[in-house]
Amino acid sequence: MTLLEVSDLYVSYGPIDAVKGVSLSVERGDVVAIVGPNGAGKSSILQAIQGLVRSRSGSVRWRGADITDWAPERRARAGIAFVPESRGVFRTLSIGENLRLAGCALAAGVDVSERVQLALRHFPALADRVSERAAVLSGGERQQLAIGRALVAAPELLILDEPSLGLAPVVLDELFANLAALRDEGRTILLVEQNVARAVKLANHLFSLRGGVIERVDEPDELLRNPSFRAKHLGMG
Amino acid sequence: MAQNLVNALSIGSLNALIAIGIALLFSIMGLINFAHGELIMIGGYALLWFAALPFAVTAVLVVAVVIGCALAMERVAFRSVRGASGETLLMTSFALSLFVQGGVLLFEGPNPQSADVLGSLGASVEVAGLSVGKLDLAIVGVTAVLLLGLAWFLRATPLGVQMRAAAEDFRMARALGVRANLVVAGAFGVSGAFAAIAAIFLIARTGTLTPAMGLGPVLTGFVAIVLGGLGRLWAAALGAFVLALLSVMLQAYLPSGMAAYRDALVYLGIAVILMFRPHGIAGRPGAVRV
Repeated sequence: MTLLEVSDLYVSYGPIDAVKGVSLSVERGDVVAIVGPNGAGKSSILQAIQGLVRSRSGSVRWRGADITDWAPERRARAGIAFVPESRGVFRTLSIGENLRLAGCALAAGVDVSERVQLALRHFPALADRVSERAAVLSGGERQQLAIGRALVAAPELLILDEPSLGLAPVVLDELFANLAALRDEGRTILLVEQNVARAVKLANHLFSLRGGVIERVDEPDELLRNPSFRAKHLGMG
Repeated sequence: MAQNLVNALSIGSLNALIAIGIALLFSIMGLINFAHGELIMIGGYALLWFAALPFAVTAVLVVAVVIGCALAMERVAFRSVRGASGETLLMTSFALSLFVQGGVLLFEGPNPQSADVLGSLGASVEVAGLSVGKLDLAIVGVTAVLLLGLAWFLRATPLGVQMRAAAEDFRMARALGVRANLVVAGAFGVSGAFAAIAAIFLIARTGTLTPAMGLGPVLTGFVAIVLGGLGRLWAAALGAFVLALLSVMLQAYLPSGMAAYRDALVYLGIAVILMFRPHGIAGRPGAVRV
């Protein structure tokens, strides 16, 4: 079943087109990665999908419905969870308050505390620190909190913007192990990532974005078998 | 000296009620709402409209009317410009302020009207050797309760937590499902409630009201926010008390020949403070929180 369908999307900042006619779709259970250099327009695509920037033209459809003009909060309530590049952690709120805030996207009557406990199973290190201010967290812990918070909303689609950005290698291993676990649970994930090797290992569909133009590239499995790719991105001959 | 501190505490409390109503909206929307003065003015006239009723009923009705007007302001004037530049929001608030003033001028006329509010609190009581007006005690006490109540609301209720999140990063809060309309309306509602209480105490102190009466208080509130530090509620309250302290101390200790320069010297003092603390006494660059 197609969850998300982006068609001929343009995003502009003044006279500059950041995203030029991007089309892509995400099926339930997919892990779709968009890779590309800085300034390619990757984050703009995700923000347009979440409604945080307005598209100049094109459409975003969610489970068949046109949501191009929906407010961000309506998209969140419809089942789209977004973890921005900055993590979007509220520093002045406690870890617990950050987590419970995502309960805003849940239907009335759903037990938010139960959802928080379920999310914390993925990140047990946070479980004992819910009363601490989020400002004290390290970069890796903030990423854990941001993803955990997104999971509280029980999203049908988890959108991650550059999850590896600014994280130490050892933290990255842990983060991508967590993402792989989410993938193996059957969760649907759309991420943009500069770390091509990590993205290829996680995703089952891959897009490349350059200058705001998207193109589908080889399937990740094929790339992992490609000697030149292995040499360039994985350091393997 | 102690007597002056008591006076400063009372005036500072009234300033704080006004400043926090303005600061709350600035924290969440980036809006300096100069029409907040008109909410205070409407509260003043509402006191007249319901004057025949028992005071408790009057107070509840005044608060309800002003909250209703605040919500109407949000829905009619500010919702369509939400997210616009600070300048656009400021101009909208000026225009709204003039529009509301004009409306009240049409119905109530330009002449000052008098109102006897809380006249039973006109006497003074002896507290630790100091003569303290009952009205001053009421202002300080009610302000303390309201500030504590607001702190509790922001910490302990889902809407309060959503407001704090929105003050830090409105876009991200919305991306998590926080309803922008609910949070902003909530902020206008709280702001309106503070304006209403401020109106009651202001009229109780001065006894007069005019359609333009909101301008002075809103300027005082704005100066208090800048002095305390933009974007932080407790800093706005701090600025309100420091402003009152400056004013009362100058009033008390200036030679009588220089009394006319009191306000000028207050602002000179503020300018000096801002030279050393350009983001306000407790402000930091970019700090926005409630």
